[in-house]
Order: sequence, then C-alpha cells, then structure tokens
Amino acid sequence: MTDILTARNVAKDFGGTGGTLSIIDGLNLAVKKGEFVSLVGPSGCGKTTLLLCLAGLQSLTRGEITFKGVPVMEPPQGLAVVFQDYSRSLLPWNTNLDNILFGMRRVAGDARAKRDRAAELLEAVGLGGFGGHYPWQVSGGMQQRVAIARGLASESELLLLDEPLAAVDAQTRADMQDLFLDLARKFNQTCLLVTHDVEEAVYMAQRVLVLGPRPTKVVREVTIELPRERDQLETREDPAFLAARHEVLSLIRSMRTRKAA
Amino acid sequence: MTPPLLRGPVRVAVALAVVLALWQAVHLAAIVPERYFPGIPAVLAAFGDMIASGDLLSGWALTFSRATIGLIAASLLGIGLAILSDLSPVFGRGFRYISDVLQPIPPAAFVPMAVFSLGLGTKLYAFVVILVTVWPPYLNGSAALEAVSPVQVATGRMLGCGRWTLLWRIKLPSAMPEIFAGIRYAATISLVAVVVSEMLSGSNGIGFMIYKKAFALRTADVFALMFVVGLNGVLMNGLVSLLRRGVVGWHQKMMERQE
Amino acid sequence: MNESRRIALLGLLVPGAVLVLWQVVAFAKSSPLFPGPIEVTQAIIRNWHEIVSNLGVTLMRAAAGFALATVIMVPLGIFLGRVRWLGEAVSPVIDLVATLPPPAIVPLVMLFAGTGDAAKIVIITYAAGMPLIMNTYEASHTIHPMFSRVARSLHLTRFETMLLIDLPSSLPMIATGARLAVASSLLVSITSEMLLATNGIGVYLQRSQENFQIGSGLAGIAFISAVGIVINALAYRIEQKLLFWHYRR
Repeated sequence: MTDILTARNVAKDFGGTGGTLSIIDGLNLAVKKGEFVSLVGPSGCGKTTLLLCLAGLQSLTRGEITFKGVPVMEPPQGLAVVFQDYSRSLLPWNTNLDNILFGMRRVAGDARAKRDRAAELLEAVGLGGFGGHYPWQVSGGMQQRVAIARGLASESELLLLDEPLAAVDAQTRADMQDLFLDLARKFNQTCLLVTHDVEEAVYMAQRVLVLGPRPTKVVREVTIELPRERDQLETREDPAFLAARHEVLSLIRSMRTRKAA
Repeated sequence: MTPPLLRGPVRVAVALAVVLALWQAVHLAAIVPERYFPGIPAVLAAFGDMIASGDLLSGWALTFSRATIGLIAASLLGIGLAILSDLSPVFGRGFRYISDVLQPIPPAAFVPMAVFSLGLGTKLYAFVVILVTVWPPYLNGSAALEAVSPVQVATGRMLGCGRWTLLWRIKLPSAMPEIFAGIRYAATISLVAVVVSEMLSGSNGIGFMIYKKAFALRTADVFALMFVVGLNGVLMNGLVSLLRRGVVGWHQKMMERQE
Repeated sequence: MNESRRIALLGLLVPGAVLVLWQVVAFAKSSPLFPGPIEVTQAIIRNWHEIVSNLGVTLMRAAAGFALATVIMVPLGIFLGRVRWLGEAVSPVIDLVATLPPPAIVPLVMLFAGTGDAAKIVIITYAAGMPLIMNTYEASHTIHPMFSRVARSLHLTRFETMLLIDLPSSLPMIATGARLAVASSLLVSITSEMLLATNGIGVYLQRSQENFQIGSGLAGIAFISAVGIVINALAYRIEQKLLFWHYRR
C-alpha cells in the first residue's frame, strides 16, 4: 500500500513582528490508501491548524506536505473536507441535492448521471426524500449527513473529517459513526478523522495518531487491533478497544498534568 | 394579538380610512382656514382634474422612471464597486475614504453645482440620483462580502473553486440578502433625490409640480400630489420586494423559520 | 495591525488618483464653471468666514429640530409601545405618513408657516422624528415579556415602568434611530434652506451658483461633508459611551 498523504517535518508559526507563536513543530505523519486514521490530541493543541495545512488551505512555515506524491500548495484535487461547522459549510441558498451537486464540481460526467449519483448518495445517508429541502429546513444531524454526502460526492481519494460529529447529540452521534464506517467501507474511502474525542478516535480508526501539546507533533502511534467491522456494543467492550482507549487517554492526561505542573 | 384581518394591506387601508376621516373632521370643524386645509372632496377633485388633463400621469411617469432608472444604475454600480473592493482590499479601503466624504452631502447640495456642467436634463438627474443612492448597496455589499463565512469559502476552495467561481457561487449569493436590504433603503433615497432635484431646477415631474402649485397657493393640488409622492414610495418598495423575493427568497424563508 | 495600516496608507492612493484626475480635467476644461481641487481649496480659504457663519445657522436649526423631535417622539413611542391598543391603532398611520419624504412636505409647511425659522424647524422635526418614533415604538412594543413581569413583581406604576424599564431597554434601538435622525436633520436643514431661501449654508450654495462661483459652492459642500463626518462620528462615540452595557454583552 502506498502513502496517499504525508507530512514531513511540518512547522507552522503565527504572528508577525510582535513575536511568533509556534503552533506545529516537527510533525510527521503518513496515511495509506484505504486506511481510516484518527488524529487525536488535547484541546488547544493546534488540531484545526494542522487540518487546514493538510487541506492546503493554509501555508506552512517549514517542512512539506504531499498528497499522492505531489507537494500541497493549495487545495489539491482528490481531497475533500467535511467541516465541523456543517450549518455554515452548507450553502443555504441551495437545496440539499444542489449542495451535493456542488460537491461534484470536479467530477467528470454529464448532468443527468451526476444528478442520479447525488440522489443515490442522499439515499445512502438516509435522506432519500429530502433532496428538495433546504439545509435550514432539516435538523442538525440531517444537515451533517448532507455535508458527509457532499464529501463523498466529490469522489475524493482522501476525506479529511474535522470533528464532523462534535455538534450532534449522543444518540445521533453513535448512529452517524456507524453510518460513516459503513460508507467508508462501501466506497473504500480513505479517511483522516481529526477529533478530541478519544473513544470516537479509537472506535472509528485502524490507527490512532496522538498529538502532543503545542507546538504539536505526533507523539505516539497506536494501532487498533480490531476487525474492520465495528459494533457500538461489542467493540466498546472488547479488551483491545479498552486497552487502546486506556493507552491514548492516559497519554493525553499525562500531557495535561505536565502542562499544569 | 392583532386579529389576522388587521394585518398587511387591510391594516394599511384601515389606517388610511382613519386618517382621511380625521382629516375631513378637522376640515369640517373649520379649525384651519379652508384655503390651507381643503376637504377630502376638494383634494379628490384636484386629483381628478390633474388626471383628466394628463399632467399628473406624465409628471408621474417622468419622476418614477427617473427614480427607477437611477436606482437600477446605482445598485449595479454599488454591487460592482463592492466586488472590486472585495477583490482588492487596497481599493476597498481607498474607496471608503471617498464614500465617507461624499455620504453626508445631501442631494440638494449637488444640484446647483452640477447644473452648469450637466445641464438641466437627464444627465443632471442621473448624476444626483446615482451619487446619493449608490451608498447603501455598496456599503452593505462590501460589508457582507467581507463577512462571508470562512467555512463556506474553505468549502468552495476545497472543491476547486477559483476566484471568480468563489465570488459567483458562494460570496455573492451569501451577500445578496444584505445587498437587497441596501437596495430597499436606496429606493427611498432615490425617490427623494429625484423629487428634490425637480423642485430645485426641474421643469417637469412631480417635484416641480408640487413646488409650482405651492407658490400658486393651490393647496388641494399640493395635497393630491403629496399623496402621489407617498404612493410612489409604496410602489417602489413593492417592486423591490418582488425582485427580492425572486432573488433571495430562500433567505426570507430561512429567517421566517428561525423566528 | 501592520497589514491594515499598510492597506490604509496604500488606500489613500485611490482618493489621491481621483483628485489628480479631477484637477487634470479641470485644467483641460479651464472653465470657472468646472473648478479643480486647487481652486476649491483657494475658495475654502477665501470664503472661510462666510461659510462658517452660514453653516452655523444651518446647524442651529438642525439641532433645534432634532432636539424637538427627540423630546416629542421618544416619549410618544414609549407610550404607544406600552399602551398596546393605541399603538396597534397608530402604528400603521405612522407607517403611512413615513412614506412622505421630508422634502415633499416643504411646500406644504411653507403654506402654513411661511419660509422662516419656524417652518424649517418644523420640517427638520418631521425628518428627525420619523426614524425616532419608528425605532422607539418598535423597541418598546417588542420588549421582552420578562421585563414586564419584573415590573409587575416590583409593583411599578405604569409611568414608572415606562421610565425605568421600557426606556432603558429600548435605548439601543432608539440610538439607531437617533443616528439616522442626526444625519437626516443636517440633510433636511440644508435642503429646506435651498427650497425656502433666507439664510444658511443652503442659501450660500445657491448664491454661489447664481454668481457662477462654482468653486465657492464646492468649498461649501466640502464643509458640509466635514461637518457631517464629525457629527456622525460624535453621535457614534456618544452612543458607545451611553450604551456600554449593550455593547459589552
């Protein structure tokens, strides 16, 4: 398997003449094709900045990020992001279906075929009858499903997920996690999930990368020894799940206590 | 609280009836001399006479078309300038200096200065109306373009939108509700600017007619014409609302939902 | 911070370019009826005293009209908001009257009140009064029911409720109306002078035109603009000071 996304010695500073703030320093990571990887770290460690850099929405101070072997200077083709702030990332003047079609701008094919595909995706996220609705006419959880469908619609080789489930309630959250895993497997979608929720990171991924405090970098890699098939009840009681969860949580807690000391 | 019957057009009609009744009562009580305060029938008669002679209709057509054309031109110019300000922050900042200086000047002040260069015709009206009407669409538009949600812009960029696609597909639609709020405000200003210009140096139009009749002490005519001015405002507002529903209907429905 | 200052400085090039272009066109035309910025600057220096004294008259009238409008319209708006049935009855009438732009009532007022100070102040009061009463009423009749419950639980009289609850909680919207009213007072003060010529900056502008002194006229306009900017900035400052509790939230 080849690396689809790599980051080598990435550093990002903010600020100008008044003094710089180092957000990321010496960060390395690699995501292989077909993988589901989670990036987890203590709050305020620079996760969002890292995601923006990986997506090509922000420039680096040092180091290099490549996507399919090509250095990322601007948002590359074949990479999509599902933002946490779904209510603002969906276009309120377009219907749900048009929002998904907007996600297919770079996809080749005639209009009719795209329309069919968009309708199919809406069906896949369980919103079959809501194509003609506007995003603000459906609930928050449904809006996030539309955003996910839009991410999948772009037929990207890599989907960056920026805490996509942070703003929905617990029940919806569990349902969406399974929906996500299901879709990712069905479309053989490579995913990189950025989150602060350790349970979610472990539950979803085959590999968890733990970020250190600011200036952040990957401090540990935890391989999740679980089958790809996951289940809300069984997986969460599996000794392998519990062990991984324990490892990541205690690592993050130790960072917090060290910071406080 | 208000019975639904008393909303919207019905409410306005009832209010109008009340005002007219009060008016007639004051007239009949003869508190103010007849000469200054004609009764409703006299005003209606004046209205009828002016319509019959064709003066009113031709004057109205002139005033209304001046204001409408001015508003359309000013709105397009305002949106264009807002887009330019969005593409170039330096231009945006620089143009703000100009708008700060020009905005507090009343339309009436421009008229005497521009008469010599532009004459008394269409050019004068266009100049005055555009100069005072362009600000609301421009200021609202540039503020709204600046305030477009960064997440939406990022989404667009991830989907490979270039500068122009981003503007056309994301920034402009998102700024349109604000721009229309500006155009609505501009519609009022545009009518006032035309009427004032006609009063000051016109030779036709409703403003000119009001001024002439007032000096001739034709009070009933003045009242009838003022009614037409008010009606113009309502008509213009209706037209803008209609257009707004077409362009940013989604936003109105969204706001209603949130209430 | 640095970047925004750089943009602000570079931005000065835009009005600079406009001034240069204007001067070039003025040179090309070389007509006293199309003066350039240099001639206007000279006129500003030459006519300083005349403009200032005329503008003073204009401003005094604007201030009088604005003050009168505030004194009448704010209490009236609060009252209409609290006495609901009256407000429901009167507000469509206000909406109806508001369709009449202030300059349109000038000829009418002239019939009643002549062309003197009284007539102009009436017109300015009308112009400043409309945004004031509309905003005050809108604020006071959409007041949060919680405030009314607080008032009732404290056994406030109707008058006390209006003074201690309705007025303060309506202030942010009243301030918005007042800002509009300030701008429109100045605007209408000038316009009414031009239509009912006696004295003031509006008359100065017309005299400049009649004497073909366009440069002097533009000098007067420059003063109007400067005064407008200062007054609007002042109004904004006062609003921020008085309503700090609203903006800090």
